[in-house]
Amino acid sequence: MRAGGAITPARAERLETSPALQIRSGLDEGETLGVAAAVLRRWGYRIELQDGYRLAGMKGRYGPLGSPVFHWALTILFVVVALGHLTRSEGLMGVPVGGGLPNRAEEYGRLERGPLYPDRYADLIIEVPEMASGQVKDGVSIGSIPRVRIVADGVAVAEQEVYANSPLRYGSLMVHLNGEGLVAFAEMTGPGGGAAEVRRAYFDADPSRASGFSEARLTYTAAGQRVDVVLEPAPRTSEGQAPQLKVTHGESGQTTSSTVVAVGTPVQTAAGTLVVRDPGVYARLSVVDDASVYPIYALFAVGLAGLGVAILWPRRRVWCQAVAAQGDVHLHVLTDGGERDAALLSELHDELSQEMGTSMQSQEGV
Amino acid sequence: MWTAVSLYAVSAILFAVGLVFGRQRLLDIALWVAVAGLVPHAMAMGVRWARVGHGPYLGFYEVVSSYAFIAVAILVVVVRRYRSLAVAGVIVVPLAFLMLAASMFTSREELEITASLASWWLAVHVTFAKLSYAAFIASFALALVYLIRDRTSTGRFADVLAKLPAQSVVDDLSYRFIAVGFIFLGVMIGAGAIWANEAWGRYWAWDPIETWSLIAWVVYAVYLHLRLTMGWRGRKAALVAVAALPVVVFALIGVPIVYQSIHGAYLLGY
Repeated sequence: MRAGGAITPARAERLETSPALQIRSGLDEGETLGVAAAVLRRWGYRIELQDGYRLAGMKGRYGPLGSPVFHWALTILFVVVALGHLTRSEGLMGVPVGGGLPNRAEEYGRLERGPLYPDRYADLIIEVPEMASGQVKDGVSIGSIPRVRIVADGVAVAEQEVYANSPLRYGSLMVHLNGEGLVAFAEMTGPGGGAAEVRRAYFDADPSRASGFSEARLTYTAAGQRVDVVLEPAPRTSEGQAPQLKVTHGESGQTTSSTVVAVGTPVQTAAGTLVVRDPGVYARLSVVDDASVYPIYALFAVGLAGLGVAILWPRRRVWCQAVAAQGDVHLHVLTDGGERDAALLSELHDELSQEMGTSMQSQEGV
Repeated sequence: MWTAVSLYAVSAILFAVGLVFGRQRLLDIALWVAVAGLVPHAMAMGVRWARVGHGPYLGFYEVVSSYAFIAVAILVVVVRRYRSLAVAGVIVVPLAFLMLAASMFTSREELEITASLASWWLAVHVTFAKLSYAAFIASFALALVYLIRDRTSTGRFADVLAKLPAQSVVDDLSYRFIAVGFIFLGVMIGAGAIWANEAWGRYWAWDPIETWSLIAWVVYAVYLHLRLTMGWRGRKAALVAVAALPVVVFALIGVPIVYQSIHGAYLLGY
């Protein structure tokens, strides 16, 4: 019996002693069984009749697959998540608008990398050719939107506007906009001349400060001297004035001088001559490299499908046996839930009561 | 919206009186009054939706109001199938009334969609959140009905409770709501993770509301395992279903109030 499974001798014995619906309808065992079969078919069971007084029914044939699919998908998901954390890189990179930075660890302001991160994409350059402010998309105020370009071997391989819910993708790399701020280049030339040491100074919006921006702390070492420099944007004192900076510097953590100068004005320090140039705007980009994301999505979908099958289409088998007894027909019902499927028995009773009533009336009308 | 509040209040009173005095007719009238309350409720939500340009999912007022709506709507749907379950309205309608009334006394500021919320994942995430939590509220109500009837064999309530479907059907229905709610909650969590990755580049950050949603999912997974593997039915299953709902309520409403969370905005504003 393919539909519900064979009625083995043990099952037949259980069927005969299982709870029975006592039906007084004028129908014989075969007709009663036929009505029960019709009800079960309406409920989605595939029915197979046997011997004229027994039936087997089954629905949710693939139900038993649901639970192992879900649990295995969940187990593999945990493994993939763990591997993803070990091989993931996530960091914040401040790219000046109009420029670009190589995708190397030292160019990040904050970086977290798993111990097994393969350091792919180190040869890429992340550029921000332009950034438009005050942007509105579909009626939603987005703010600033940078155009971000990824360059490999001098060729642009990916480029788009980047903002919330619109990241730039390249392979397993994902670039989001994290914020923006001001940037300047602080150039220190040693007392003996020579090549200048250039650092980027980032200033982020900070309403708690009088200037409205955070300060940038830089450290230079020249001629054996370590000089700490603190830069902070200063308010302009007149219209049209060049951007002003408060420059505080000192040796080995001690403040020796603080002055407000226009950008581009040299300041003498113990480590040499400091000049802050090229003030501008920068885009703070969140750069994530995680190859586990799409496998995680796939496993989630598979797990959900398995869960749905297991819960919504569980396999249910039912066996019925109709036995004539003292003018009535006793319909014995056995399910694979045993006595735990009392709900099925109760609903079958209600449904058959309605059906038998209909049948009775039809018979009386004939 | 005050019309809806008033109608839910009248309905709640009628449900209570109908249960106490064993009047099925009153219970039927109470249900119709609740249905009547759904109309101005839906109209108020629709008008606001058209005005602010987004669905009812930003701010305490919108969120709690929409949950009240869904709770009553689900009650109506269930009672259409099982008329005798109308008595569950004694639990659902007062709950909906309290939720809606409370929301009316909070700020009804019309919050705008921000850049990080401007995604179709918002609709997916919120829809499945509402469906799952509504399903859990329904299962809670059914489990409570089961437990009350289990302990009430005589007295004035017994007459009304006797008209309910068999305990096995009530128990099975409670389980089915949890089963469906569990799937919906899983979709909500997954959709939220995918959306977080699109918006912020990180699919899981152990934000308090993310964590507590996962805890709620695990709690209901425990229920399902107890039922499907250990065979827990009836009273034991109902007790677990009743105990599980506070976890969900805390995840939905308590977490944004207690913790600093990036999700706090949806309930408390920016």
